[in-house]
Amino acid sequence: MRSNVLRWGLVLAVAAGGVAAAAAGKPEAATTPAAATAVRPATAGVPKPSAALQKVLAGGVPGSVAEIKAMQAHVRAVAARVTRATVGVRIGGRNGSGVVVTAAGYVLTCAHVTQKPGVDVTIMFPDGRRAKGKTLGANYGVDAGLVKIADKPKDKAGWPFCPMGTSASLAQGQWCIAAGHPGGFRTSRTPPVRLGRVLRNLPGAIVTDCTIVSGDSGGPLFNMAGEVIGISSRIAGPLDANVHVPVDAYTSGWARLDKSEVWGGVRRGGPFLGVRGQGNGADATIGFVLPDSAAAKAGLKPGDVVTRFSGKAVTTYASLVAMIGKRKPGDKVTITVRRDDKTIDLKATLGKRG
Amino acid sequence: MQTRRYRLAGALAAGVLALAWACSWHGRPARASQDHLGPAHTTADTPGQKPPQTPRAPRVVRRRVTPSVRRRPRPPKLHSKNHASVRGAFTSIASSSARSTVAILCDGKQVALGAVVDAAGYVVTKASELASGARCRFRDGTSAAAAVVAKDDRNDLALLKVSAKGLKPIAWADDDDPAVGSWVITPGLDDVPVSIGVVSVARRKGRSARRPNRGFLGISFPQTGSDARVGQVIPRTGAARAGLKVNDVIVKVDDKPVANRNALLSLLSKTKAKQKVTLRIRRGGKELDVSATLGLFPTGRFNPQQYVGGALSERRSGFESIIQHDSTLLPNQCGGAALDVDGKAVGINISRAGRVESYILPASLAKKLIARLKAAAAKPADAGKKK
Repeated sequence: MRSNVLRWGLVLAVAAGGVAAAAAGKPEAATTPAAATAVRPATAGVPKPSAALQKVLAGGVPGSVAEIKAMQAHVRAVAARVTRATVGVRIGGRNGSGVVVTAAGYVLTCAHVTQKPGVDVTIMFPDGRRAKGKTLGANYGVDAGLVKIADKPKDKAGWPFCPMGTSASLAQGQWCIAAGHPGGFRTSRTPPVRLGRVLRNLPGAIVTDCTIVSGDSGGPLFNMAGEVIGISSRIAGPLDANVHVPVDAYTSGWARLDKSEVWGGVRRGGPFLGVRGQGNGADATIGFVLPDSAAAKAGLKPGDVVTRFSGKAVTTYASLVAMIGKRKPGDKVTITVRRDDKTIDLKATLGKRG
Repeated sequence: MQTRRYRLAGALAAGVLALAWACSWHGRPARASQDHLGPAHTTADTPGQKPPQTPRAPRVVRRRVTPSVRRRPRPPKLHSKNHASVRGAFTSIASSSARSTVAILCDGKQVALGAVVDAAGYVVTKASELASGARCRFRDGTSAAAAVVAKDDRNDLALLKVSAKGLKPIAWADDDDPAVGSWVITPGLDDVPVSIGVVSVARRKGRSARRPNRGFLGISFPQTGSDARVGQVIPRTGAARAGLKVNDVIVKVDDKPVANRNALLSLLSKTKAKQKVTLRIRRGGKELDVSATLGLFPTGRFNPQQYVGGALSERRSGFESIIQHDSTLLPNQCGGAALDVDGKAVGINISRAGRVESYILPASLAKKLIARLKAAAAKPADAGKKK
């Protein structure tokens, strides 16, 4: 239970670190998937809404029965198309969802679905087709995972796909559609479509009232043009607490995901120091040291302010967490702390998160 | 955001025993926390197969102990699809059905909604929610006693007869197979509809009605440990009604000792629905006996994540055919009409089936059943021969 406390604290910190990075305006060099302009996405043919309807879809409320009917026609048109690319993802004993975003067969899903790179995946399309693929990289900081289909599609137009949109400018109240395979993929049931609205657009998460549940992990969240704006990840208690990974996390991390890099956040088997921060995280003050952990063995104490991690300057608590995250269990690191106006170098051997 | 955090239930073996869990934490300060969706369980459908190891999700699971189930859901947030401003936009569509919608009350509490299907006073509702002494309450606030005329068990539809003036039967839609994405409007007794959603899956045959008659207590275990400790109490179950609390340890079932959670599951697997059991529980250092009436074990897999956010209808699957939609409904908001944008009933809301799904009994099936139930009512000698 205590280790859970630490993990949770670290997860929050990493998210905060992500916020800082985004605010600095320096996302990683985005190597987006090859432009698929020559190939028709599944969303081709979605009608362009009138200006009045566009205002409603962007975050308004329909003002008349005519507008309600126009919105219905639009939602039907989008739903019919986007479900074609909403796939079931099976990895070993795990079942989740995903969405194909290029004709060549890149599939967005969750980090907790893919977990490790290089693992065999079965992709199941709602029309009954199946394809084999491999897991690529994962960003545990936001729960983003990438898969690539290895099979060649029989259709020369490629696999059905929905293009990625952007998530930075999603507005509160903006209408959106979630799809996926809750309860597991079934050919007897098309992927259920849920309509909802963006409630919060946070740097590491989009919250909507499109209800999702187990099995939906990795499934797409679409805007009203049928573009992928998020990937379903987790829920909290209320029916309007449905959390999705922002699609910008995939775009900005594309090169790393494509290279099968795994980074960010907490994950089983990852490096573990055994500390929790304190206060608002503006500096790396240690608030708690887990007994018998790598931190305890190194002599870290609550109240220590970490200033350097193996020589690199540490600023916020999140920056310390990020540096730890880049290491492996067993790595020997030097943690420089300020304690009672003294600067002390502590040697630690990173443990393994269970 | 709420502070409860759920890890996805691990893999289950259908027909054997569900192992579901929540991590319990006591006295932790409230924090925004998020459940993991996690992958769905594997389809381990071979009876007798051992339940696979529940995988450890990579995320933290935290839960705050909630002292009691929240009585009323919070009002929908601004910007949400069920906010009053959105539902208000559908008023003109729903208000035409307001005189055709009733609330069904038992013991003064609403147990379901109902739809007037005949001006002579016939009302349909969800049969399994009825207790004795049902009354219909109308839009104008008056109410009248309702007699149960006949029931269709397979589709959980009940036909009631009520004596009242000015009843307007609902108008059925011609097309009861609306496309995915079509609006679904659930009228209540007010001008503003109760809930708004869209068709999630087009009309399809329901799953088999066959259900093993096995008792369902309604708890799940904490993530760690092996003792028969309550990690989560599912709302509206025998466990909830018996007053079981998180962290209670069950030590006996009907005087049979319970050494660990497997022993508890084994004892429960031998029970039947509606069976009363006496549970000896250890709570706060003391031991006490509670009596619990078991429900019916849910079809499919028991996944406590489905209950996150709200109670489900106890009878929620096994209908001949259904239209699945995403409207959020409470179990006591089922039983009445579900309308399309023209204000016509595409069917009857027959269950709240999961966190993401509510089911409609399509109009053509409902009409067929109503005719059959009326005919059964007209011939008292055959009243027992229902399908």
